[in-house]
Amino acid sequence: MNRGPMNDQLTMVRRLWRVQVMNELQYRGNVALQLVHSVIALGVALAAVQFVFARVNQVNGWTRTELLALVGVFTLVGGLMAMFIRPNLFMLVADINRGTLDYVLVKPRDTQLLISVRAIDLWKGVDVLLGLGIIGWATTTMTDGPGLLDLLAFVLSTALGVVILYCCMYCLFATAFWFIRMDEAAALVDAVMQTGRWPMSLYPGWLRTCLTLLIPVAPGIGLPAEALTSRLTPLVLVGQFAFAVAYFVLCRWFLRVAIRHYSGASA
Amino acid sequence: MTRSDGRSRSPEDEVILVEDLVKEYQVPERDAGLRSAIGSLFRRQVRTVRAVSEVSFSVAAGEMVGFLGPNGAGKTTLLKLLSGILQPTSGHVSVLGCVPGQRAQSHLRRIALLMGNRNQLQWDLPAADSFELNRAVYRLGKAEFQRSRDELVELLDIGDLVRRPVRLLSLGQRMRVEIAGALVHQPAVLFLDEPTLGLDITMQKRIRAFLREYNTRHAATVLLTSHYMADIESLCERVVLIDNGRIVADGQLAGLVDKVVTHKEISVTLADGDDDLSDFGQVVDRDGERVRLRVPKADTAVVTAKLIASDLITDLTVRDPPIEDAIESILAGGVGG
Amino acid sequence: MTGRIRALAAFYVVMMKNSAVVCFHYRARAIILLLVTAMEAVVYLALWTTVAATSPGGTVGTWTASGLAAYFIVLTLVRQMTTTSSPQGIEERVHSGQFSVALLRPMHPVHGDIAEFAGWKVVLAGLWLPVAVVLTLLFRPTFDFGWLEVVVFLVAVTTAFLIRTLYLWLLGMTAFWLTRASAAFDLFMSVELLLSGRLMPLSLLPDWASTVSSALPFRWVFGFPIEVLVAGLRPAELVHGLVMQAVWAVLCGAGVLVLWRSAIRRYTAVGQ
Repeated sequence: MNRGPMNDQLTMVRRLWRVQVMNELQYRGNVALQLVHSVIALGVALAAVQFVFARVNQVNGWTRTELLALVGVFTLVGGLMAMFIRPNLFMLVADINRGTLDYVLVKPRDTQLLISVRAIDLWKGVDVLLGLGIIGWATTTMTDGPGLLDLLAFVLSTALGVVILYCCMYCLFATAFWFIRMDEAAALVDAVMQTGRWPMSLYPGWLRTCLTLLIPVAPGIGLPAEALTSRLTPLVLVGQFAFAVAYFVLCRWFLRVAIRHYSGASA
Repeated sequence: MTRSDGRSRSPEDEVILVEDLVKEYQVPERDAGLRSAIGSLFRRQVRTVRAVSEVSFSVAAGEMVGFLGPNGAGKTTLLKLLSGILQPTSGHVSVLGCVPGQRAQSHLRRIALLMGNRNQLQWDLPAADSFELNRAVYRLGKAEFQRSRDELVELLDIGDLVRRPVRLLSLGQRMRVEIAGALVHQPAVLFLDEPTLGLDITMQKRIRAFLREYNTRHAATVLLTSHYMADIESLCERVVLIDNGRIVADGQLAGLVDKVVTHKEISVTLADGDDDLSDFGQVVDRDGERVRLRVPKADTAVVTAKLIASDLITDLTVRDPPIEDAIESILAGGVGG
Repeated sequence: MTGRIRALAAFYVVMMKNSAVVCFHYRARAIILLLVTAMEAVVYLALWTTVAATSPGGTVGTWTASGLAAYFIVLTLVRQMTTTSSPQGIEERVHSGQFSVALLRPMHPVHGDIAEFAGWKVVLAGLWLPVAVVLTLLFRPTFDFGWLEVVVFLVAVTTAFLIRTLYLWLLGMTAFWLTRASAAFDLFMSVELLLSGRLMPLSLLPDWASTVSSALPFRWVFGFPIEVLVAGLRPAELVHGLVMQAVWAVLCGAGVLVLWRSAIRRYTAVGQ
């Protein structure tokens, strides 16, 4: 039965996701509702850009279509987070509160892998699709659209950005092992993520630093959008890669520390 | 140390070895009131709680051991230390030759944990799907998985239940499928925390019967916590009494009880409701014509004969006092001479 | 009649006092929600001050960068003062059957909500001050108000809270009829965001949006109170604003009363 460890992990992950998809398919009504919510949210974002551009024709060097591309990236990354990262975070906190994390700890699998992939919010895929759609529309109507290299950089930067956001979220929510209640933290993170709707160059230096190191909105959303609008330099992309690697190592270590301090919800 | 069948143990027999195990928690403490609330912003007061205090014991392969004790005694904490979920503050634990706290994957594949009031199967899906998931998690081959699953389905009689979403099952049905899910990977050691909690009497009996059968077939080592005396009586030859994090007694249930139970109970029905039986023994209870007497064990035969000869009674029963009382007194005073 | 009013007043006093104590107890939560609001303002602050700074003349419309900074800092206060019961909360109460209890009381449940959230305001205002100081140091606003404006502001913000509570109650009551009202809530709150002055000062809205906004109550809940303190409004404009607020308050109040009657009829007929 030795198919090799990597193949093995992938099989398990596939099984976990298959179970999740089956879970979600039980509630088919949700897809229509999700569509409505996603369209409304997108509508508001697009309207906001429209309103701003009723007064000016560029924001810090960003044209209207470039800002629309940013809206697309925001929706895409937000959708990816809502689909893959948030459901697992909430399940982790719920398990810590209810004491059912014990079952995860007793499974013969890497704990971080289990708590990271066992939940999916399938219907948030609508946001991912809408985001891609807006990106596609914006990049094709841009006067000076992204070239092949830019698109490649965009894909890479988005992947790295999601990894960085994953690490930040897990480090933050791992504090639930100590503090237990995380509802407000989630709301605060959400509010900070809203800064990603506009170009990072808008924000004062101190804020940009916070948005890179504290809640990584800049690497998560800003950089992919810059790649798409041909603003991303190879040096910065390499920097993003290094940051992702370092953050992942930190995250893995911190989760280990957090689990070791886990004392169970009840004696 | 001798095993329950009388032969002396060698370390190779021991599946579980616990030595001077200690688990302490820091619990924040705060008085009520606004001043204390503000004070707690600056200085956090903590109290150290000893949930498990210098516990030592060992368990041989295939043994079924029951941990009995009042709520908050430390049974669940002990079980979590043995399954590796909690790290000890000090002391040594070894399960199947491994330190459980390290949670080596090869080790985790040989143990199972089941907590009575906490589910781990997927709530909205049929149990069969969760079993398949466990198969992937525990890396079971197709043939061995099917054999194990079929056996469990048969033993627990859940054939038609596994295709229904778990949320639609009754509590007893849910417990049975949960047990199946927990055992499908054929663990060598089972940790059961209050497995019959909340179930009705019939279901409790069924689950106990299953656990006995499983233990016989697979020689799995079973550690079980419960505050239902009936669980322990029915399943475990060996019982460990725990109170305040310490082991108060450890040995065969019958032996423990015998040491402590020094009296027997005689229940009689009086022919004439007014008679006083205090000459015969200590009157424990009087309910109209029914009287309960407590007599020293050695005197039972004599007192019984006297009562029958006295013509004062129309009915008589001799029995041991409830085991709970014996356990309570052990917990209160320890197993003395 | 005066007895009823006195009883109501007594109820409000007790509710508000209790609610203030509870709010203080959960101040950590309140602080985080305050930071959430501040974050929102910081985004628009950064956006509009940059737009102003990079525009010819350093203004957008009639607004300077420092004027816009003032606008959004006051916005954070107005946001705090207008937090109220959410339509989702009302929907939950409808579906969980909690309204059964409310039906048995001789007082409209909206009073409980108003009193509860009103009790928070003092604590919220207190927590807001340090945040406002930090934002002022970071973004350098210019303020332009006198004592008259302060008084009008206090009245305006109180009425704004009342109006918002009432129209969100109206929105929440649709839960009596709709099984999945969340889409309606989402749409409503999105329109509120865009046309109330939360996204940008009302004078900067495109003309068509401005027209639509004048037919809705949202601008009188956010835009107007903010402008009282930062826009240097003329006395006539101040009066006009207060009158419009009063009109909307009455309209929404009437709506709640009317809709409540038919909501009860439906609730007691259908169950939940």
